[in-house]
Amino acid sequence: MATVDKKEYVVRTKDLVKEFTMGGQTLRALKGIQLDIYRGEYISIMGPSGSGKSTLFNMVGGLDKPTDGTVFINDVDMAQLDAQELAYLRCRTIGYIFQSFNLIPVMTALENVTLPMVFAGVSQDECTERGMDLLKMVGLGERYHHKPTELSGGQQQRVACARALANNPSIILADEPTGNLDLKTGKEIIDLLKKLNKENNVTIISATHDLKMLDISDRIVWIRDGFVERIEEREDVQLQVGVMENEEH
Amino acid sequence: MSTTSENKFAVGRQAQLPLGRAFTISMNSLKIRFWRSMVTAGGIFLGIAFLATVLTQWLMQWPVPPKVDAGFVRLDGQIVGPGDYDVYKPVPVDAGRQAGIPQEVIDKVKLPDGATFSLTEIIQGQLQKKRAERNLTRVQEEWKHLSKFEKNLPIYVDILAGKDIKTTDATKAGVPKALVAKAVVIGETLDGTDALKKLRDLKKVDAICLATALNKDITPAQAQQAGMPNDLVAAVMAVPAPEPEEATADQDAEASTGPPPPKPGTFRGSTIVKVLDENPDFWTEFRYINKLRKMLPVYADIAEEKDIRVEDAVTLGLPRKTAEQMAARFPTFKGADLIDLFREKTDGIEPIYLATALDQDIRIRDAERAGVPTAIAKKLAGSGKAFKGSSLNDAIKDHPRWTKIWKARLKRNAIFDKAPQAAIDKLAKEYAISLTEAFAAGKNPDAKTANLGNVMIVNENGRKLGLDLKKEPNLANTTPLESGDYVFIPDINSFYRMWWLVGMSLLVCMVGITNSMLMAVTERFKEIGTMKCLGALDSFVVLLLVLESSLLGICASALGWVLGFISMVLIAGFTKGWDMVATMNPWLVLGSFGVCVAAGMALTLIATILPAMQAARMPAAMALRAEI
Ligand SMILES: Nc1ncnc2c1ncn2[C@@H]1O[C@H](COP(=O)(O)OP(=O)(O)OP(=O)(O)O)[C@@H](O)[C@H]1O
Ligand SMILES: [Mg+2]
Repeated sequence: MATVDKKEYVVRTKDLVKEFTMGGQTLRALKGIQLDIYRGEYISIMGPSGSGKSTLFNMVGGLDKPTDGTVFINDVDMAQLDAQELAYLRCRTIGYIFQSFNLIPVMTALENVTLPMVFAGVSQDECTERGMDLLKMVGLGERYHHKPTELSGGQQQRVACARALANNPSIILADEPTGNLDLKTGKEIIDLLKKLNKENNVTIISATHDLKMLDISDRIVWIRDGFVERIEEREDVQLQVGVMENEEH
Repeated sequence: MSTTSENKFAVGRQAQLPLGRAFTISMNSLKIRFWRSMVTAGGIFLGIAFLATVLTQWLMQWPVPPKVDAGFVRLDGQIVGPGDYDVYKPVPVDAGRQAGIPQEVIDKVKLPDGATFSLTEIIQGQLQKKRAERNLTRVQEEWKHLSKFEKNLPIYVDILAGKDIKTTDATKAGVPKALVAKAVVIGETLDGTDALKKLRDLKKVDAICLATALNKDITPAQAQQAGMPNDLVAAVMAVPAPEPEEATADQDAEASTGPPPPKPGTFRGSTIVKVLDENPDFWTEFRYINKLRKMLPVYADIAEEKDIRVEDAVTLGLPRKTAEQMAARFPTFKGADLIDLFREKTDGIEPIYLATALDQDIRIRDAERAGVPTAIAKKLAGSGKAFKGSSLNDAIKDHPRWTKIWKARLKRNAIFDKAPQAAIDKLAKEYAISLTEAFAAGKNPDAKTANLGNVMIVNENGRKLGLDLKKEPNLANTTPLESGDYVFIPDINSFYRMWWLVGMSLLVCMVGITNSMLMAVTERFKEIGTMKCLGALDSFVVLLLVLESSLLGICASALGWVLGFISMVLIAGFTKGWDMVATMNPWLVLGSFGVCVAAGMALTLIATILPAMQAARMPAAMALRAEI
């Protein structure tokens, strides 16, 4: 069984329901999701397109409000937070990585990375110092003064990773971080995430179609049609993959 | 490590960032999307420029004081009976005497009733005298310079006209002797009538030629006898006799009565010349025709009493010596010959004369250098930069007349100087009419269309008075007018029109600014969503956008005002005159700047805050999905 430390929940959702109403029609994107995520876990959320992964993300990340049910982050009910507390949470507790990078186009790599720190009220010097450290960590120390348009997709995503880490968050939410990247760069990002997970004990929740993710995930949550279909431990998956490989021989 | 992780359990409250930080970020953002910002600013800029033109035009409502004669006021605008009116009431003779105006002056300006006199006329008389004095000295001063052209210039004008000019006159007027001598050689002539006399004496002249010279009618029989070929006679007879011109004016009468038409059945020698000229292929009796061709034209010239060249006279049979002697009796030359020489060789003659002779333009600058008074040169040039020598000659001829005129005027008005200035001032104050009296003189202003709320009084001394007769009608009674006042009552519609224009321009501003700001905010939804993900407060997002747009708003409206103001000033300056522009009150100009910047700012802020708040309030997820 896992240690006591592992038992500590970072994210818990209870009967999470999200409905979208468009033109009188109601679409249930999430139909009661129950999910517990432990601190320091690397979780991959898999599922076909349209199954509700991004919607779940937005709920967990506090970017949208659920129609029903609750999300707890560090045992705090998100629904109870006011705007300022929510902003505080987004700023320091959660780091976001998007499929389309979402860097601020008018800012340099360094400015993009330091923006969350600016919002956290960190002094200018400290911002620059830590921002440079983070950029070096993602291998972009030399490119700090480049604008997003002057960087490749992989480089942009690495800047986004650095930005997500700016305020030492305990959770990183990554919605298809490799979706817009080729295999090799995607692998680099995955490795980077894994490294962060291992070294900084950051909980990583990542939605993906990328099977490479499965190798390194602690658990894989399969979602279909707004339901959690099944949750697999890494051991099981590896076993399966191993079996498959054996069979192929 | 464990303490930091403990902290994560407590959710704090995100603090608002200091304004300085927001300011830096928004400045940066503006700088980086410079061109996009310029497009956004363009909407504000043009809107405010429009507003500024309207406001600037409003500021130019003060009329330019026109020149109103001393002693008069002018009523203008929306008024029945606009025009100039005497600014002083008739002054009783006694009052004038008491004030110290001499009796002889009063007598001169007495009004028909005999008991009062006109103060205006005294003032006008003094002005006339001063003006006459001034003009007289000016005219005399000019004459000092002009008189030196008086003698010589006419010669050159004659040269230009191609007249015969005496050699002595030409040399006196400064034409080099060598040139004169040459011109004489070229054009040596003798008088036609003289030549005719001499030829008659010779008695060797062909009958036809003599008849031509004497302008006699020739019958065909005579012609045949003289040896003229028959076909030529026939051709000449076929030419219809010229219709006698009807004498219309006096001068024409003289010309047309010259040679009477030939009698029927005869012809003139000049007709032969004409026929030969028109039929160069006449060949019968070649020798005779040739002789006619050569000599007959000269005889025709004699008939017209033209000057004849010595050479021609010699061909006709005049002994060379006689011809030359006759020519020497008239030491003249043709102006036209001298002009040709002038064209080749120009040094030695004053440029102004040369230009006159050659009919060239004399530039004002050159004329001044030659000693023509600047005022005269400018007057002659009119709106141009140059004038002709002949017009200078006319001006010189006209000049003594002006001296006479101004002298007479000075003499006539000298008496008014006897009225002491203090007395005039005293009476002027006492007997000045009020606005009401001026209105009465000019009949009432048209109450329906006149804007009595904005009666303007200006004069050239810088007086500027705006009266609101609608609110304070009594001002019309208590406001005395001054000599030279210009009273302008605008049309009430212009007042409404102004407000309408201001309203319209504000509307245009609003639409333009709202449009550009809406665009600027909506295209940044995604950025706003990202910022919110990174921990930006809604209020910070709004602040950022507001800061950006107000910076844009201030700069764009200030520049827009500059554009509107300057273009309006230029247009007014070039179309209505710079005086009109100068009537603007600088404080009000500053005010219009303030109004424009404030309006631009306010509209920009309103147009930004609403979409910015909407963007900030919307869930981050939705903002992130937004695509433009
Ligand atoms: N803002 C929205 N308004 C209306 N419908 C929405 C909205 N967001 C998501 N949906 C719907 O909810 C369902 C789930 O969408 P979601 O984006 O979560 O899918 P996903 O699993 O992330 O798919 P993909 O792998 O393609 O990204 C879809 O059917 C989608 O059409
Ligand atoms: Mg998705």
